Amino acid sequence: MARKEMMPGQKRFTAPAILGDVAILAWFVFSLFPIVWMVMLALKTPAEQTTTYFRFSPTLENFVTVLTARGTALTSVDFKAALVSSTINCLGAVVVSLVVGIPAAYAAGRWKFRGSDSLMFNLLSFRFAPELMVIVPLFVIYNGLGLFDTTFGMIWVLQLVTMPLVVWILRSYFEDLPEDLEQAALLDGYSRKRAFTMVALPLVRPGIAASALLAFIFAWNNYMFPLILTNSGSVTVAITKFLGGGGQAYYNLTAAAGVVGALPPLILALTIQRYLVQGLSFGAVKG
Amino acid sequence: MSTKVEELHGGGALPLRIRNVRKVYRTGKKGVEAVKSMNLDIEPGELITLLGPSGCGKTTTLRMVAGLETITAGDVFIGDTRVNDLPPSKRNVGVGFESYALYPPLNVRENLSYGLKAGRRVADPDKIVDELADRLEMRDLLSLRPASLSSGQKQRVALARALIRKPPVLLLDEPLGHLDAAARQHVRRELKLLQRQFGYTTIVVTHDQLEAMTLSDRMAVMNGGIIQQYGTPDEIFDDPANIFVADFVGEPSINLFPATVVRDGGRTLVRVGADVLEVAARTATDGAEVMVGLRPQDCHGKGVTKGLTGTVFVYEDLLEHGIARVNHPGVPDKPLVIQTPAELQLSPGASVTFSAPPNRIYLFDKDSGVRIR
Amino acid sequence: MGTLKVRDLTKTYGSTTAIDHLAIDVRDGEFFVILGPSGAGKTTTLKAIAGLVEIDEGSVEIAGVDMTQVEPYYRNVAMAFESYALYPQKTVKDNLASPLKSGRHHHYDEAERTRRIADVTKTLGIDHLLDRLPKELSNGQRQRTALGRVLVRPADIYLLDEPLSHLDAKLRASMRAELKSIASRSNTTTLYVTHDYQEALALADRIAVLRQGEFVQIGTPAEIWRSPVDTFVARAVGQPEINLVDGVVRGGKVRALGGALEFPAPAALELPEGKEIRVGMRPSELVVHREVHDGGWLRVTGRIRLAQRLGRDVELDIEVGDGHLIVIDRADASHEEGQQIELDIHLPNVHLFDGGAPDEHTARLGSAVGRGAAPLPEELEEELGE
Repeated sequence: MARKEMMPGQKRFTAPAILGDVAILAWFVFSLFPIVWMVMLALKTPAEQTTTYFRFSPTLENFVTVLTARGTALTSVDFKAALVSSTINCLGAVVVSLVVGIPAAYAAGRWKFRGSDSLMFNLLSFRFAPELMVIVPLFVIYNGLGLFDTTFGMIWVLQLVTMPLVVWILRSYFEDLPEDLEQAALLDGYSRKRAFTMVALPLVRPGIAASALLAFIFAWNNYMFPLILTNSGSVTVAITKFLGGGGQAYYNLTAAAGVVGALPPLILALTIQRYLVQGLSFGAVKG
Repeated sequence: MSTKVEELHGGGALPLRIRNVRKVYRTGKKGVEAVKSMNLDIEPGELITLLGPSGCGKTTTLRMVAGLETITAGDVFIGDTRVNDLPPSKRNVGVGFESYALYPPLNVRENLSYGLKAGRRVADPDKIVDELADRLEMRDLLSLRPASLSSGQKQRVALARALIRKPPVLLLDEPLGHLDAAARQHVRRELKLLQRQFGYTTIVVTHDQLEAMTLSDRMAVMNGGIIQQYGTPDEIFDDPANIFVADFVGEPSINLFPATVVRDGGRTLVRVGADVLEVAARTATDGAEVMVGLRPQDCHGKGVTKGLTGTVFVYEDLLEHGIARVNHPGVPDKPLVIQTPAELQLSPGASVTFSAPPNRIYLFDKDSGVRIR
Repeated sequence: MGTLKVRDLTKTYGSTTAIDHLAIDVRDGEFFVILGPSGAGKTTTLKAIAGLVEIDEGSVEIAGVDMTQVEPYYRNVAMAFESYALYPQKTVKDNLASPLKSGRHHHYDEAERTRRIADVTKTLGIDHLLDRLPKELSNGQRQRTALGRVLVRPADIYLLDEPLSHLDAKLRASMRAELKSIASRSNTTTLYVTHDYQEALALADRIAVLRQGEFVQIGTPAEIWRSPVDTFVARAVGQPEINLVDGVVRGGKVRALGGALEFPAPAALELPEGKEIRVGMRPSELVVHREVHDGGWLRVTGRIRLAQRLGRDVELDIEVGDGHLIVIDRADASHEEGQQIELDIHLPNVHLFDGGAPDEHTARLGSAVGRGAAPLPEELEEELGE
């Protein structure tokens, strides 16, 4: 156990210090509890799902139901299909945001032209606007354009979620990139495009990883857009279908769906982890 | 044991004693010994510097005296008080650290008076601030905020903040580092005069040997957590205890090359290739392989017929003097550097013979680096 | 044929003018040094010549061809950046290969590339580091790699931006000598930027002193030393800085330091009565009185206030009249603080500048004997027969 380095004159085991440690521990337990409960719930049988004991007989039956059967007798939801479409939509949205956002962030980070700051703020403001405000007009437009429940439509609308994140985080990385490196490449004889791909891009890899991951998570967790603009076309919506109605709620199935639904972002985070060398600093904090 | 140092001693200059101090940083299982076993006695009113390369333990030592690091073993006494367990605020030391933050919302004058007044009544703070600002040539900075200061200016303000309370002990970490050459010369002189006038017992930490030489009453050259030599600048420069000290102090650096000792009657000589130099060392044994230390500034060619003869391969004309790099057959892997008087203009390929006074040619043991006297 | 002709080069950032109508003529093969404090505009000048910075006005002509509108990758110049700008994910070998692989000016096959890299790294002493990454190198090794990237291929002009400024004193001195020897062997025109006057004196064929975006003086090291065009240039070279004391012309004599410094005003300068004047004396030219000199010397008396050791020399801060002078003397002479001391200076070495406000830089009028330039230290020492 690492010993805390004390300053001269400080005493180690005072009452305030111990109380502080206890308080932190308590908060830790409190924050983690819902997740623990959810996992437990996912492993409980239908009979035990409303109990509050910690002792129960675990079963994997719920996971099987969630992933294979077409939901319960009350609703019909193809969870598997929802998983697939969420994955496609979110990955697609992130890819589009990167392809468009990286050059945008480069331009915004390198060249300060008149109006660049207000343009950037405009982009960020998309994150502020409550989705409920725009969802009805969007529905009407999408319906009219025939984009309801399409991959193209979802990827497009998810840009409201993913693009600002990508551009804002990467802009900060590009701003911090010393100009000298690309200038050296120019003098070596490379064109500006080559200098960018050869020098600048590799150096912002952590930023790309961080923003891609964050964008994916936010897109994955989005509930409102898939709710209105698709037919259960996302994990977030599909989970709720297990709650059923008419007096019979399948908490254990919902919990199992929740656990499964949380997996893809988790897996992505673990794989991308080694590119996140500098950690997530949200781009706004300059070291 | 939380007595305030000043209350006991009425605020005059105090001696500082560091006894067998050791500092170990623990990271996981391993420990890093930053300071091995340090003993230092500083007289009241003395200005001493801790000089050494980065990582030698000098800043750690300073921080232990200031109270910003715990002391693993040993004792630090300010006056007669053992300060190991006192927090910095109770030690009454003035601290000028490079990273010592200036309060951003206050301007320079307010920063200085804040440091001055902290917790007590002061008669005329503005006058004191003005006087100090004049001495350090920072009058024009008084109304500015830290954000508008260059790093050199910030450094001067941090220095002023350390000085303003006339503390019995003053600790400065690289006080001249960010200043440009002209400002450095001026602040260096003023710092010395101020220290003289007010008599603070002062420790300055630096890696710049010129800064150490000009400021110190005595200096401690450190490496690897140990003091290599502690003495006046004259002693350190003219009488180095080992190769490290001889090499670290002096610019251009001392020439170091191997040679063989030859005893000839009462005289001691060293043979370098085909040439022979007389040296003052008396305890060297005949035939021993030693390292010779010869400073560029001690080399002269006037009327020298017996000395080292080599060929110039680069000559730099710095107008006030010249610096020549000379290839000598007895020193195959590097050139010897000599400082030449202004009127001697050399060109590459020229042959030059030079020597130095015997007491300025130093001999060191080849393995331990210790000076052979 | 690497000549460089720059005219009216100007660059402003918002409301500040970084460089203001600069003009230079550099001959083929010349080692030209731009000397100036930080913020003077040195890096901007180099980058403007390289085409990395868009200029607002002016023209750049390299090897006789107008390059003003030309992109940097066409200009055939090589630059060593102050920050080294080494590609972090490439090894030393690949960093050096980069300019050879771009194929912009010349096509090099693999064998040729390997040969060139081997040559350059051997000269610079980094041939054992070819497979290391920049982050595994020390500062000195990085600096040599950056230099290697410049030297590895022929160019019309080499641009070196403060290559030695991040090295410690020892390394700086030895790299300076190495640079000198490399420069004398290659005949490429070189533009070298620094704030260190010793580098300028040691390396330059000619020096241009830059202050706030303008060239104050362009000349050989000897010219800069002997007749600095104003107090700024006089202070830029020499360490410790030249002593500058304010004085006034009274009754045909120049009086300064409350009368402690007095000598006849030189007739050739025709200084009017009451004119404010600034007297400049270099610390190394103020000699501690030990022997009698023939005429043409000025005597000053003072009291030692501070003696600080500078290696084999001692820097004395001497109270003279109502001011003070800094003087250099040998350390083995005796200096007691509080001791009376007498100083001599050869009259031609006493510079006279126009008077002015304390922060103002004023023009040189001449010396204590007339309009001419001061003698060089070497000429002085010959005269003294030291």
